[in-house]
Amino acid sequence: MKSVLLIAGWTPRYASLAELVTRLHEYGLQVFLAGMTDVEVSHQGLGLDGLRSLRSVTDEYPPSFHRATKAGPFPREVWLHVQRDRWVAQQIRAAVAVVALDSPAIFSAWKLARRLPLVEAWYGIGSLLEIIEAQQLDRRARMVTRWKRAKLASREVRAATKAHARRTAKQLVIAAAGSPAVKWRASQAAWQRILLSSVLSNSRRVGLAVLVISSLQHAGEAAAAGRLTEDVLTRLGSTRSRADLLGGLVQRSIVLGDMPRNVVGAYAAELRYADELLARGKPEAATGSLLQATRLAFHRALHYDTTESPLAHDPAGFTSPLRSSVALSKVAARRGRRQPARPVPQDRPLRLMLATHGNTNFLGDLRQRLEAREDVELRVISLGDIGQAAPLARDPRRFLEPILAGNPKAEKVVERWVRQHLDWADVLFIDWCTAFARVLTLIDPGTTKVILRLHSFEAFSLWPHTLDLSRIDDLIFVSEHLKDLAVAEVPALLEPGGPSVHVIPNAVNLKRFDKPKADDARFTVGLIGYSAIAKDVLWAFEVLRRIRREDRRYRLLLIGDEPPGHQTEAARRYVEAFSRQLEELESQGAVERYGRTDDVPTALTRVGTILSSSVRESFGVGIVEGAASGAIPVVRNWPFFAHMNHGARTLFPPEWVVDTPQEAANRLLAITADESSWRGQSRHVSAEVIAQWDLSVLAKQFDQLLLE
Amino acid sequence: MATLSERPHLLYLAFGFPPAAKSSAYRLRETANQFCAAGWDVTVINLNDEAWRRDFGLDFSLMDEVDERIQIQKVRLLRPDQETDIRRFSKERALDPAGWSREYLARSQRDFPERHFGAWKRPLIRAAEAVHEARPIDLVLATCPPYVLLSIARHMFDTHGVRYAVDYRDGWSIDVVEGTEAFTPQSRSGKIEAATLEDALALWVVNEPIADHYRQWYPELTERIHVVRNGFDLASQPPIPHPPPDEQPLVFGYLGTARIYANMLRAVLESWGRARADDPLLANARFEFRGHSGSGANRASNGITDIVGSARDQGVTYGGPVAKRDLAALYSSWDALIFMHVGGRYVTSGKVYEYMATGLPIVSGHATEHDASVLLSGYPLWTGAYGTDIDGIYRSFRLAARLARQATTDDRLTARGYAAQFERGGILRPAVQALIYEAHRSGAVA
Repeated sequence: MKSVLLIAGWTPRYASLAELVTRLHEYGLQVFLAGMTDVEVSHQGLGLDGLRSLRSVTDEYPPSFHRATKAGPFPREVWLHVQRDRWVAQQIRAAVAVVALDSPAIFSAWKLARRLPLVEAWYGIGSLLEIIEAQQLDRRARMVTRWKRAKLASREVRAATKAHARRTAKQLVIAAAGSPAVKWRASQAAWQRILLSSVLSNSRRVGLAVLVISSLQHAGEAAAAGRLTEDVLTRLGSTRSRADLLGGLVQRSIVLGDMPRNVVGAYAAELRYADELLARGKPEAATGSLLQATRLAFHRALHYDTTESPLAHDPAGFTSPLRSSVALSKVAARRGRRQPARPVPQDRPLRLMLATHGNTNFLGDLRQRLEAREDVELRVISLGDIGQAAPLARDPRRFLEPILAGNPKAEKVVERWVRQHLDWADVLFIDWCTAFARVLTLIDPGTTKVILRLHSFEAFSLWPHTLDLSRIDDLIFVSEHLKDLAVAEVPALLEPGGPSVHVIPNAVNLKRFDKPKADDARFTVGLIGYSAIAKDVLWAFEVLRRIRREDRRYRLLLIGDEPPGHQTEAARRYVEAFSRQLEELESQGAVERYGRTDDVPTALTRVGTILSSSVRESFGVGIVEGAASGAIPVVRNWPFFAHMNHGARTLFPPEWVVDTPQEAANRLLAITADESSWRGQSRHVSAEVIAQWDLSVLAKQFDQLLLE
Repeated sequence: MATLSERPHLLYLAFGFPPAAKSSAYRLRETANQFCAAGWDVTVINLNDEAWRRDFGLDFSLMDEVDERIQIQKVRLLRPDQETDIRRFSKERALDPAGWSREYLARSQRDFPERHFGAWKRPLIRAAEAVHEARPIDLVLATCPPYVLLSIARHMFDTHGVRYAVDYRDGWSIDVVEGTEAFTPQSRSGKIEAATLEDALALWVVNEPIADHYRQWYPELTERIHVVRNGFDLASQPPIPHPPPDEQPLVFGYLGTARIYANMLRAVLESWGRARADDPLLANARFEFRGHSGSGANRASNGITDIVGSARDQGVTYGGPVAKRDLAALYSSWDALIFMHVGGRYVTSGKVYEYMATGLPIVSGHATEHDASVLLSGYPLWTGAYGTDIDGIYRSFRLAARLARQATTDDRLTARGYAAQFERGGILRPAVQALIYEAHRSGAVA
């Protein structure tokens, strides 16, 4: 069956595409969509014959791919994905037309058109529909390309034969290097001889070594894998080859769903390569390498899609290569400000600007309160309000590369689009430490006071390491343990000339959660938000099974979205286990999914206890909200922070906190053993958290910081 | 009766002349027909069909009513930015579409300060010279946009002494959508406009606010500035409508080139959804969205079509363009109309006249202060303009539903009676006659 391949750099328009798909199906054509955004999720209901989120498979590609994609313009990045993608290669075989749905996709369609003389290549869907409606598709394509076809025939055949031979050889090697095969000791010795052979070029040696060593690791032969890695490294002279090998191994482990062994060594090697490129006067390539290094260091498979994180385990050690990176030190250089922030004006309301990139979850109540004040004039900005500076935040290479090149062009763009906001504001409050925060502080803030708030996930990202701390007056953490973690990663946060550091928990209007409990709430354990793997809902299931062994009346109410779990193999496995266990528990009536709701207070009326099963939390708003509703908390001693000075145990009353599922089960059974005692504790807990963490209490700390 | 050789010769610079599916095509066609009927030979210079196919598309049914005596010179000038065949792109363009576009736009303005069209000045002068050589021109009428056509009229005057008039429709130095000045009198464009209008026999614009702008900028031209409104064509007027049978759901329609702000369209669709849910008269009602939308690569897929497409579950459908000859039948299939348009007091739109000529109830989706409101305020089946006020538009839909069911034949005849004053021929005939008179008076025509 003939088909049309659509390529998109940005998220495609949904409704227009739906119309197109219907029309093309009417003409008997299949429609496939490959996109740089996650179209497999966003467009799955469109009736397409196949979808591909091009970025979802990039861990399978070697480090050189990632450096290159981050070093060129976006249309080239799209093409690098399209070119390598096996799914695309498969779909293009039956395609009669390739359509670029937006301008970044044009280059890919253009390249494909040059390779495939019989395929139509269009920009936008209007022209394609016209051609198809005129039933000219085949005829026209042949007319346009007939002469080329004759000319290309023999070359095409030769190229196809070579490509086929390469594919076959590669498949043979992959089969031979597969984990069952390398378990065999004799084959390990043979592989060692091959990998250390002097006839292999470095690039071939690296490519083959990645396959063999990762297979050893996957087969549980960690020691042999380690030895072989060391041996191969001795054969690799260049910084780049070493980065390719170590980075390739990390990526391959991620693809296989294993926890990579030497992440620090791998990203440190890549950072050395970035510095080498920078020293050679290649800032563009250095940017690609720097981003590849941070991609390895902060890959979601290491910190988000798993219940353990090497960074949380040893924050200072894990991040030490970042502190010795020349490239990164250029990005985080302190450029200072010419004037200090001016004091709060006395003759007019304070002009306060809240800046946030998307997620406003933790601003709602605070914003409402500030809006109601007469002595504050409030404005809220997001990416949409900074014009042509927005692409810098969306695609950080656009400002990293000029910084590394010593070129002020990114600052000029920010000056043009952000200066007006800074001129207006007395105080700029930036929520979330993301690329947006870095872009806003690329220029001297003038007399505006700049406050930045860091929540949790950013501590597992590049951005705290890139801040120009001389342009941030105050830095807010939402908890002591997040502060501990961030300071261990970036000790400069506390050095002189940097921001004043504060710990202010998330401010929520907790009083609205104080509602009467349902009659059977005592036996319902609540869990708010479980879509992130870090929430470790499987731990909650284990607790549930233990309490149900004692009393079958206990149930778990899951409030929030389901975990998506399609981005990495580790996440996929976790979600697979979740689905399996959920099905079993639901069939027993032990778990109920409440779904996502904007009215959490009402959902919590059904809940008698609130469980936090997370491996990390910044503050645990859900727990506090649950407690304010009168649900008695049972909080796992968040493992990411358990070894630090601060954590769940120092944040909450120690009796709330448990270390194991059994301890959690014991506490749950104890606090709900008796109706009147549970109700008594419920009232007490609610009053206690409202008195300590309600907006009315915490807002004073914000007022002090923002308004005084 | 004059022989062919005695007939004066008009060069009509009219981009958007049929078969271009542009909203201006009707006015251009009627103007040329009027000159022809008044005893003139008319040569139209227009872009070729391929250019319009890439732009807003083609509607060959528009040619049905073009006077056969009119000569049409189709100039092959394509806008490279509207090319959608990627095989024709250079590598530089494919790799950096935005950079290519910047360079192309800068290049296009070297000969004349108009994005996209400035580079056409020289080939258009050659085309006009060829027409003049074949048969001397007595009068040039340039209708804009594009404004580069002014330079052709000016060239024919400077080189051959041929007098000219300008049909600006919306005007150049005023941004009618934003309601602000598009450039200053001291700018390159400002100087060209002043010099061109100074020698023009007449300047036509479509409404009073635009005319006021020009009277203020060029007080010495006041006598030559004329408001020549758009209008409707009798051939597009449907028979007198009747209420649909009670059991049949109402059908609302929009027809136009989708010059609509996204926030306005969202407000209209939200109001529609609410009214449809609340009002039994609107139960299962449908909203058909018809017309060309977008040009170049954005054709058939743009913000507007996407918003319309997202309201599919509320009975909203996007049906694409409709041929001019099918307009009357289309209006006959609708029970009420939704008039949506960008801009404010400087914008009228040609479609509003056609809407009023139907005798159907009209719901508005445009700024309250809009020149269309001035016209619609006299139309008895109009439900008012509320800007993006969702409650206001919601009430409008409900009122329109009631009118669609309950308006009597007399009500509809009254509405059509009000619209009759805007029949296009009736509006353009005196304007063309006045221009012909002026051409004779000035000695342009013997």
